[in-house]
Amino acid sequence: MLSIHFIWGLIWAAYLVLPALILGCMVWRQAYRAFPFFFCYVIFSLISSAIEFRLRNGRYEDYFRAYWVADAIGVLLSLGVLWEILRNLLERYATLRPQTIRFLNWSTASLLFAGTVLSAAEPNLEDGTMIATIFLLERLARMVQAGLLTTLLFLGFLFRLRWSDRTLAIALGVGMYAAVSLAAVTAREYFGNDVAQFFSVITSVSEIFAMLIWLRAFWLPEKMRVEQPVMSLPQIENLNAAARELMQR
Amino acid sequence: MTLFIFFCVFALAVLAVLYLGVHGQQRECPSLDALPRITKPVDLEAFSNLTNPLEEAYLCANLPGKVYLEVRRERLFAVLEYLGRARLNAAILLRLGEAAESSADKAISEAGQRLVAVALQLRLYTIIAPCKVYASLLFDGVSLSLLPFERRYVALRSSFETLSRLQTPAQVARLTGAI
Repeated sequence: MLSIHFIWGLIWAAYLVLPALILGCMVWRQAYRAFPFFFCYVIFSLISSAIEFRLRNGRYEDYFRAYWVADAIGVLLSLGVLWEILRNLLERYATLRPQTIRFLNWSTASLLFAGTVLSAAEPNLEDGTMIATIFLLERLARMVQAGLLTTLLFLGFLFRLRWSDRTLAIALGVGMYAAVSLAAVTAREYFGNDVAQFFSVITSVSEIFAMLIWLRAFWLPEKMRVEQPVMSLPQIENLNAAARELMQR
Repeated sequence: MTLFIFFCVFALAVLAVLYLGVHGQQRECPSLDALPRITKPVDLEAFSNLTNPLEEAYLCANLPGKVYLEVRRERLFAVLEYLGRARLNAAILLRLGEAAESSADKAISEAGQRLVAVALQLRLYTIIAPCKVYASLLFDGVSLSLLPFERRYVALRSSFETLSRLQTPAQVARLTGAI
């Protein structure tokens, strides 16, 4: 049976190695130009992981503060990543841009409203007020994130829009991590401190899985879209001319 | 407990949509040869008759009440079928337009861009328009005006015709006849 220390050791190693590899691939493929927010998000993940790793054996208060501040900044940056996904998706579909942006504005407002109402309706299960507030905000942010990504994917599915491989990979990673975090934060709040460790591991594993998806997306070259194997009018005319010449001989 | 279940179900739904989103991406662009097999033609004249308010008024005046309601219901279902066909065709032509967009030939690329824009507009319309038809099915008094549909479908056909004239001039009639 694997010890919890060993599992956390693996998780920390992945937290430090994977973002560095993703950054390396992004620089190698020059993908930071197309995804500047995502690039910043990965840099931030790497720096915050390094700081948290350094603080993990020190005072609990320092680690606690660093973890939640990093989490809040990470959520803000991931909203920027969402905007980047939207921009990349709609780049080729100018016709849909105004309607989609309007629809997403309404979706954001509705998700914020629903999240706030649902969070307010739930009795506080935590003893400390600060941690309860943090969980509430985290849950709200994850709900908006996951909800917006779902809306985007649903719209893409409805209109049969084509996502680039990298944009889809980023959306998939962010969405998966947000969904698992949302479930884990809710479960952690509901079941209390006894299961905190278990849900922390689950959230971390989902983040690592998301990073693996991103690493694969930036490791592989972006696939070129397959063109229709048809000829243009001038090419056909040239062929016809060549055939006429042959027949005249 | 209810809220806990709600958030967990929401998270699962997000994961399911993510899976669907990835799965939906595996669709390949259809070839022009296969187009007549996968598209469903739309008879615009028949559609125009089905949605013509004068024709409906004529049927209402000349048929007994119960028979008129039955005929009206069938006509509305036929309208829904046509809208569904147009939605499918728009999705297929969108893929073709996207493939043409990346062509090195500027004329083909521009024709592809136009086709993508028109196909998206039609798809948006055919997603919303059935709501109107269902409202007409539920409430007799609701008038059914789907005039923009014909205009948009004609635009789609014309854009596709332009593209196929550039790509496969010998098959223009066969291809445009398929939609």
